[in-house]
Amino acid sequence: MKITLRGTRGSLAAPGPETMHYGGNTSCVEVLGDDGTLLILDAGTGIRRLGDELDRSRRRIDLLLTHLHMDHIQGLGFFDPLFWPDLEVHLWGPSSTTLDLRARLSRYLSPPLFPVRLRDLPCQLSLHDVVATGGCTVGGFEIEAQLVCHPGPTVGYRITADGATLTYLPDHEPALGAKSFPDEPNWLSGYGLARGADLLIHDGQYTCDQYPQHMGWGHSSIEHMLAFAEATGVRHLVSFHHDPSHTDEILDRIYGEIKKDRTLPFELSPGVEGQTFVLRGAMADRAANA
Amino acid sequence: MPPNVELVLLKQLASCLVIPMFVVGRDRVLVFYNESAEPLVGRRFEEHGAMTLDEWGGALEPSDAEGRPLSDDERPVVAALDRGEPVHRTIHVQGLDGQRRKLEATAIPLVSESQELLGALALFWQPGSGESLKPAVPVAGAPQGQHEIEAILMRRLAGYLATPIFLVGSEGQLLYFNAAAERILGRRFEDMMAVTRNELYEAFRPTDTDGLPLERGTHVLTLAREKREPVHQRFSLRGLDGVTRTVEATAFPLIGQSGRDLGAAGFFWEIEKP
Repeated sequence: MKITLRGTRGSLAAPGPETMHYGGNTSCVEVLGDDGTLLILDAGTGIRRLGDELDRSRRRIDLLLTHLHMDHIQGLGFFDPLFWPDLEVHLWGPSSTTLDLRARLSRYLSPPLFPVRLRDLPCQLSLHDVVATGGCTVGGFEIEAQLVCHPGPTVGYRITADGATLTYLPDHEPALGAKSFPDEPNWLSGYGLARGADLLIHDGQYTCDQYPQHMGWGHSSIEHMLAFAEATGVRHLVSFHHDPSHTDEILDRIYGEIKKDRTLPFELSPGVEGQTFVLRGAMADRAANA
Repeated sequence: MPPNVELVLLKQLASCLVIPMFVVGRDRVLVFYNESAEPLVGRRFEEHGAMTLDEWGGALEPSDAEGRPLSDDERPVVAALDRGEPVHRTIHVQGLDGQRRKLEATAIPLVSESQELLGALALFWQPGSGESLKPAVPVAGAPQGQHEIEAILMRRLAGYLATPIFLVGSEGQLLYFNAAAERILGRRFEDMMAVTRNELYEAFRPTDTDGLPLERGTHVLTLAREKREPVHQRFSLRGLDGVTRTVEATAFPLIGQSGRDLGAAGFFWEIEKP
């Protein structure tokens, strides 16, 4: 699968000369399968440009939302393919304890917050509650979803194809209330989704100094993100959901120091908008070598 | 000032659960209630935000069975905060439809391990309300045997509180109890992990208020799971230290989104100390 980061910023879009490198668009990740199946993870502002680039001949898109905080859905109304009548759009996301996904999403996609209502979108739209199903199969992708530690109904996704695994945990606070972190694996939020993943895209919003004042806000410190990645045995960690106040200079300094001072059991990449990763599992490698 | 971790955990837990839950600060301000509790208040929490107990209680007009308005110290939440002990009672409230309803109410003060009063958790339920919930849905195969977020949050919260708390899974298996509960049972959780439910029952020999052994399946945690609503009970328990304690307990089912059956949690408190 080919993974492209379309928006790596958390909480609020942060465009400007000081964020040109890592990017200012909010959370959105494009996942393209070898069979042409397209998954889009979250619909932050980064989804707008993705929509402009998609081929009009495409017949189906699956959009997996982790949760409905504004920075993860703000781009939805500006995602042009939703206005293509011939396109089948499957929108996956979490319901709440009393409201289904459609009712929750309609709170945003309706006046006064947005002039276009969900029901008025021209595409062939289907909504699916991932909490009830625990996941799905889309094309060649096996997708697992599980609720994770974040305010409000929030899931993470584990996406597997041809033996390669991507885990997406953009908003995640696994250390919340943990007296010792990381906890035992079966008591660690997100562990089952991330264990042994080839690529983990994980929340790394705060510095250690910033985190105490933001405890309970649903995001990780960079240290907690690193500890989580080590505990789950991932091969490659991409830090994500950069704080709006973290300029390119600040992020360069933070991650430069980590790479200089630490020996990590995994590869570390601070997420950069536009960056791509290609995952090939053992099965694909064997097929290629046959 | 850094936020209070116990209240943060409780608010996040409450937002995951179907059972109506209210979180009150130690200053008697209602600081959160979950979606299921909205009908009791008449509005979403996000629309109004925090409110004083007078504002909240005024709308409900809580009274006793004879219709006499409850005084402050008769209201479970106020009594629990004042005494620092859980309080359970039956109350009658005015619904938004003008009908008066009988509710069971338990207020549990949130006391930290360092004995600081942080606030209270309040549960209100109408007996039989569990029957109106959608049928229980088994959890759709959590990856690698990992516990669901609701159980994780409940366990972490229990680890901070001075009230004995037990957590069981969807099959009734014992998942966790905190240090305060160890004092009731006379045994550490780590020493109990290999104990089966039957062995646990035999070891602690719960009896009802008449001294008769509680039948299997009638324990508060089991009833909460089966009825899918909070259950309150008083019983006696002989710990492994040989001491018999009379306790009250309120247990509530952990029912998550989409009706997922995750087990039950119970708050226990001694009412006659040895």
